[in-house]
Amino acid sequence: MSTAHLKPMKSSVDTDISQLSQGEQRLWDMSDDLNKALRQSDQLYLDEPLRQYVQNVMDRLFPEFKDRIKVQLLKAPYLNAFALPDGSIYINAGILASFENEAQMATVLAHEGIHFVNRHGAKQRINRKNSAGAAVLIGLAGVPIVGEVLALSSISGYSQNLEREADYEGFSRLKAANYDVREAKKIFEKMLTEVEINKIEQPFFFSTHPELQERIKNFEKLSLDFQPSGSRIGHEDYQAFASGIRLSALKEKLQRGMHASIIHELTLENWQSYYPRQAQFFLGEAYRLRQENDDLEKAESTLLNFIGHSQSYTDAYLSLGIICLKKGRYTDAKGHFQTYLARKPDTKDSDYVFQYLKQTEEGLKQ
Amino acid sequence: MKMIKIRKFPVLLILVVLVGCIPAPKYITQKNSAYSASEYSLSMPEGWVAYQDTNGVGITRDGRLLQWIYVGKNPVKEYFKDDYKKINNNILPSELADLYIAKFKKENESSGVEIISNEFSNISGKPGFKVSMKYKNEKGLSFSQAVYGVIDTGDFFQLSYSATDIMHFEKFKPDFESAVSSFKFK
Repeated sequence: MSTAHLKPMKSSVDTDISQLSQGEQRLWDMSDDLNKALRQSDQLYLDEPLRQYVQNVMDRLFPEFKDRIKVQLLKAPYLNAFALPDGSIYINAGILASFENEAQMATVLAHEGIHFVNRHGAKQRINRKNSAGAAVLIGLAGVPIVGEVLALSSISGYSQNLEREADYEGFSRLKAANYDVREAKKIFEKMLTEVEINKIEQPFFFSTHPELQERIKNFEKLSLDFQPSGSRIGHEDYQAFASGIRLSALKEKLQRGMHASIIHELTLENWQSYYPRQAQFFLGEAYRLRQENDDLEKAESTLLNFIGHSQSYTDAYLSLGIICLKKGRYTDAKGHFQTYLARKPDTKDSDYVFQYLKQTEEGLKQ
Repeated sequence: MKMIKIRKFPVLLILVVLVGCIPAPKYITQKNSAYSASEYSLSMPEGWVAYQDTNGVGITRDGRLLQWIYVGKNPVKEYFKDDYKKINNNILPSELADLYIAKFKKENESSGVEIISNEFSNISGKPGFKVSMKYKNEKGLSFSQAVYGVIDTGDFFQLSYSATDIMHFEKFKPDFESAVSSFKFK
């Protein structure tokens, strides 16, 4: 069936569901079901000031859809975002944590907003191939209603033509909202690095791995086409809201054993411009747990440097105790373990520490 | 008629072989509650049903989708195939727990796994861990899970218990803890 008659919506006035075709109404109903499922699934990242900030940026990009396009944050640590046919936009904690500034976030929001405004969900043929993987990425695998609507959402990937349209018109929106469009391609460069470091094969925001390099080139070209661009980058504003989600993403990555990704991110020259100082603890932990070559030495120096500035971060003493125990430096180990217990007497992991102190004592006797 | 007989024979043979390989579910009574594998033994809760497989034994009372205790072993190289190089004689129990958590989270990405606690545990005289967590299944039903883990002579042994939060987990936790207490390496 031809979808040529589906013109882009002009404003929230066009989004009266009773005026839509039956097919499109069904898509909106399914989107509503998915919205409810996500609310009930504990997958939403609940940080209202941050969500409101992201919503404000979306409203700046699409002022005529202020009451229709609604942004929600998801806990998932992957670099992903997607739009549903009804104007609900979801953006993962993982991708929010990776943005350096507001202009980069606005690039993703503008692209996803265009998918909604230009009714790509209704124009798209169902892409079931990616929808199962997509359901896993947002934490709703197996929920029956999810598959079909995800197949028609941007997370499963639209045709090349629709994606190009979203790229091009997204750039127009960025420029109109006075954003510096040169920031846009940096997101793809970061994604490419993340895909390579973590050997990721799952579907990603915008595209899969081989297409990412093409996308970088396309965005470089668009950046030139849209000169002179706006000047807003929004580094400070973004920093003010993103510290919490950056630390949360590091914690999730550490728990999933994504050590290489943490080490890469936190050894970039300018990491301190983006991450709060506590991030140094996660770098030390990533070295300690990766255990390659001289990682234990790097872990120790990183953690010592960290407690030199942030003595109140008690968990670092436990990590330092473990490092010294593994290196056979029992006196140092004992000191760190005792400091940890003294500062955190009610800790649930005290039995680990007592066990390690016992090993330390045995080591000292030898 | 002859054709039918020829066809039936392989089916019967397969059934005989299958029955020989996979023990039937066993209702656990006072008389047969002792479970013994080549490396360990434990006492299973009476009134439950045991399902033995090649790596260990699973036990449930009301159905494995509602509550499930599993005790079994896997070679470290197979179980932690992405991380086995990190596992040597010096691995500490908290490091083993971290590897277990990473593997579990990666394999259950869609379940929103939340780690509740991570504690040291002495398992039949060997240093191991106990990790408690919560997650949801694909229908949104909340589950809790407790896992004890320990390494011995190249094998990873785990004693796990998962059950629905709403009805089962707390109610049958003592049965699990009792089975764990009875676990003995030979």
